[in-house]
Amino acid sequence: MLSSADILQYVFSGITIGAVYAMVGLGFTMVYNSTSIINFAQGEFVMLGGLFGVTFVGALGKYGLSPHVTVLIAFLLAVGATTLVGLVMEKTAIEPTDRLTIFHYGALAAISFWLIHYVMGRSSAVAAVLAVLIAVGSWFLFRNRTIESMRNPTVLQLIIITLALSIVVRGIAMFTFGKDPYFMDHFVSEEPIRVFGATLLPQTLLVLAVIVGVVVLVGLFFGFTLTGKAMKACAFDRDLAKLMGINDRWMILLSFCMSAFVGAVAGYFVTPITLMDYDRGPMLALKGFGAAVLGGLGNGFGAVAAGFFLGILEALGAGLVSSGYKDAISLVILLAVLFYKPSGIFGSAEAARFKEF
Amino acid sequence: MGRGNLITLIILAAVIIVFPLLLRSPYYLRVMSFAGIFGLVCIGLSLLLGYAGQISIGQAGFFAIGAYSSGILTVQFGCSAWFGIVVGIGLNALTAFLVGIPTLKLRGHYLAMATLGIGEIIHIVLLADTTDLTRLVAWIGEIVGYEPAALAATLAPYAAMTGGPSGFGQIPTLSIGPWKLEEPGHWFYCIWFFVFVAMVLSLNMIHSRIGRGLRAIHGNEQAARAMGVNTTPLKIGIFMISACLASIAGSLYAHYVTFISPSTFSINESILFVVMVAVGGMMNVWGALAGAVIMTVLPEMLRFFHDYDVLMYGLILLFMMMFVPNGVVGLLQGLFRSKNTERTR
Repeated sequence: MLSSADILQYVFSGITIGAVYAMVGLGFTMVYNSTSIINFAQGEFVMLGGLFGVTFVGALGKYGLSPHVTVLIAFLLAVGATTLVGLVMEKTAIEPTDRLTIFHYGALAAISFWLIHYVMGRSSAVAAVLAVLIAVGSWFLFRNRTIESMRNPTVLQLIIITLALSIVVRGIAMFTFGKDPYFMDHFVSEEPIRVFGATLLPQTLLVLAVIVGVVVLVGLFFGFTLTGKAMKACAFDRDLAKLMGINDRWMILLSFCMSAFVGAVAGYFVTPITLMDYDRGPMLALKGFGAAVLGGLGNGFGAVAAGFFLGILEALGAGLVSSGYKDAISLVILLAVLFYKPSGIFGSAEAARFKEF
Repeated sequence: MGRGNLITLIILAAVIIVFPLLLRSPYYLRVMSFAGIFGLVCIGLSLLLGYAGQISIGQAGFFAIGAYSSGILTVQFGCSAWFGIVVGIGLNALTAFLVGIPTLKLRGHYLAMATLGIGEIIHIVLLADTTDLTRLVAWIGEIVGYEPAALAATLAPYAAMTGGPSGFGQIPTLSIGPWKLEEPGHWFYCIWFFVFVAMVLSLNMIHSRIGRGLRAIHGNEQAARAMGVNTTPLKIGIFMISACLASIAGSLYAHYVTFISPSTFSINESILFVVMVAVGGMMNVWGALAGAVIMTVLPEMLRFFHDYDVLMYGLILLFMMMFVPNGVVGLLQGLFRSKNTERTR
């Protein structure tokens, strides 16, 4: 039979992974509130935060900085880079537009470069010249054309676009970082702390502190800044907010960047404990969505609480039942919630019924 | 079903009959047989996506249920292959019904995520080996107060049936009456016969009251309901039909390839089905068929596709959704239509 120390141990390991689900769930909520779409690429932000983090920590290691400074600078770079990915995603594929913008031509140039250099095996100079030529050529062809299909994209179209974005990001990550999982040193001491017979890693405490910090910051942002209040207004009623002079496009862009930011923070801090590889995204997205639904879709704090709940339940299930079914546990909970109380624990039934598709 | 569709159906039948006579190479027949199997899944998915406006990212799960029902029933129990196909359909209809009821009542992205979850659960169950199942049984046994060891012992042989991560083989081929399907040409005809029948039935359904109801749901669900369309049963029904078509395709796949393992039924396969439908055109069942053929033949033609397949699928899906949301067939229809209107002017 299991002792209470064993159960406490499972709870501790559940907290770490629950923190990631909480952040992914929070990201889902932000984007859902401002656009009413589910961003399937949400899990990829966590993966990018972790892998960028490993890369930057490794690159900064050469300069002989003190470990804490390295971790801090790498954190800023990794989170910044991931947020940039979120921004480019929104600008190229999500934002309604009737013209091709600089972002489209840039993406076209990048894809052409990749195809010519890596896939067809030409030298990087040739590839760069050709890529620029292709981008400029397509600008010349399309500069006066209107693009009907992206002027008013349907929600179904946008969902499939985010699905495609997640595949593209994952594919690029696979070729850049490889298929093997990455390690990173713990940011703080690796000496475990003993609590009632169970052991707790100091890094887990750090993860908890950071997550609490992020949640408090996000709460302050939505409660006390004008931009945060404007975003809430957009979530409540987009058209009404527009009439009041709120720039809704800017709010959508901001929500994408913020969701990328929170995902990247989680990814960066848990990588020392859970390791990170290119293929983590979809499962994290699925469970983060579970957290978002469990917390009442659209309710950020509900999503955070539900994320920790799912993580702990999953760790307990893996320990008590079987690790082979670990991933199935939260999925079964997700389906059970959809079945019995689709409005989530913290949401009202009203909210679930009136969300538009 | 409209004259245009009738003509296209006759052309399809003619192409199906003539193709193996012209191209005798078993390689082409094999590629086109796979295209037919995927086409069957895509017809179902396009009914759901294009007509009911609901997305499923778990078709590979339904595909897997069909394949494993057929495989396990024929290999382990010596049942007839056709019985396996029917059981697969039944199981899939039941699963789709249970998943569909709660999720299709809601609007939003619930079905997308629920199907993704179901697909993953099925994948996990197939991947799990005997030890995982024994532990689960022991745990349940402990809770309900049953002798866990005895229960585990009775269930262990059933757990081994899926073969765990490595799958299992030696699935017998289909036989129609006294004839066994062994030649690639026979298989081609058999698979495309199913595709043709599915096509006729779907076209009939689309051009009936049900189809108009579905289009109304896609346009505006509230308005459809106000006009007296009973939306929830319609949506659940179409979801069940799409699952059943995926099941038939899965069974055919199992008997055709004679070996199945969980890696064939991963989340990537589900996404590939969405890509096929998107490439061909979401708003049209013909598009689904065209997309399945294009996306099966294209990777065979382009060598570099194999190393980068996932990224390629992503880029194609992104491009199609952003710039050609109606797919290849939609594009062609648009071209024909604008020509016709110019002529009448």
